[in-house]
Amino acid sequence: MTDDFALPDDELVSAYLDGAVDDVERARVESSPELLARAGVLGAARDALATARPLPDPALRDQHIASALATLGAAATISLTDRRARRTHRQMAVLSAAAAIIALLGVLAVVVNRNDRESLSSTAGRAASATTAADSKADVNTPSAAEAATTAAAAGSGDFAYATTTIAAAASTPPAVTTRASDLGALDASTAPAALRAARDLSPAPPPQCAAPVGTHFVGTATYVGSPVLAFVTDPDASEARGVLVDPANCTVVADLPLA
Amino acid sequence: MLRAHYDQVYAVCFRLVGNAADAADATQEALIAIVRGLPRFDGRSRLNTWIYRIATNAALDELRRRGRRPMLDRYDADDRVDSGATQPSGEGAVDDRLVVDAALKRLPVEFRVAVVLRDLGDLEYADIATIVGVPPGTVRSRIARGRALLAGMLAPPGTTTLPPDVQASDHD
Repeated sequence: MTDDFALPDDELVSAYLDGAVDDVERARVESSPELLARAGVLGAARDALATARPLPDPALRDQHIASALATLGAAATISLTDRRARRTHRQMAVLSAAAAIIALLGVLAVVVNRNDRESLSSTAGRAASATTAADSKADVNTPSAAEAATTAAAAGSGDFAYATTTIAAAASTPPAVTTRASDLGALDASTAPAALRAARDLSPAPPPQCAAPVGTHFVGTATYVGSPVLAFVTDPDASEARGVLVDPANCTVVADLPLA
Repeated sequence: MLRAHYDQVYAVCFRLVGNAADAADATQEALIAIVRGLPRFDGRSRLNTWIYRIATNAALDELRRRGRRPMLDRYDADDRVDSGATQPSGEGAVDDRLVVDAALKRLPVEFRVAVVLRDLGDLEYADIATIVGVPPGTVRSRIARGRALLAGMLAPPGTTTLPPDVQASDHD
């Protein structure tokens, strides 16, 4: 777009209107009838903008303020709910993994009873693969699913039967994870911006291992293209909304994504 | 505090996005960001400047989001008459506001932001420079160019010739 007006003088005249000129510049404007006339024209445009002020609907004002204040209470509630949900999620993940392993161990026991030692070694290989798959589904902060399975299996035959039933029932119930949990899940270049934008208002306790990049705050953990990351987003007063993903192992930036 | 700054936040958002519906969304986003960001406000800038920065960013975010919506969403009844948002002095003032609204929409965004923050927000050049992230000299230039374009668009017919691309374009 072009704006072919007398730009040098317009800048001087406009600044004169704002009182943002030195004595020399002021004298130049005030000694020139043309510049003073131009000041009148630009001043009229300034005044039109300043006086024709859009006024909000009072009901809308009240609604907006109430909604904004409600987020304070909601944020505190979400923070507590988030912790509970994450704890429940971890428990469910461990129980689900344990249930899968116990079921496989049960199959293994049956196979051992029916077959010779060569059949047992091939079945154990399949169980190890299933254990690895179950571990990868668990939260990064949970104890090893194999450890949990061992603990569950060591509970005794009577308890074992009860535990199996309980674990099976728990495994069939979906974990109660809220969409506002600070575990942002598995992200990639296409899904990360939306997830980080949605998490922008979260403010869980910062991670101990890495400081927030300048101008950002911590919003949660995630995996990015399969690797665990810490997620940071720019503060509300930043000129540009960005998400920064950091490798927790060495605190290096893995991705720096625009969120707009 | 929210009530004290609400009208200014809304006015800035409305002037930047150009219609009541998007202004309402941007204002709500700005208020939420203000409430949540206030504990982290470190006082390096004035509170007023900080609030206007949040309002400006919310409005610009809304403009970017609108840029991805279908064209139909850009034209609604609120673009012509803003219900409940009339000046108390009567029809003439409403007409003036609508004319100013239309003229502002045709300004390039960078000029619009500078002019709105100066003439509506009454911010100093240095504060606007902080908000927008450009030097004060650039702010001075953008304000001047924005006012010159506005003056041309608000002038009575036949008194000012505008460049052809300003007459034909919409700069949202």
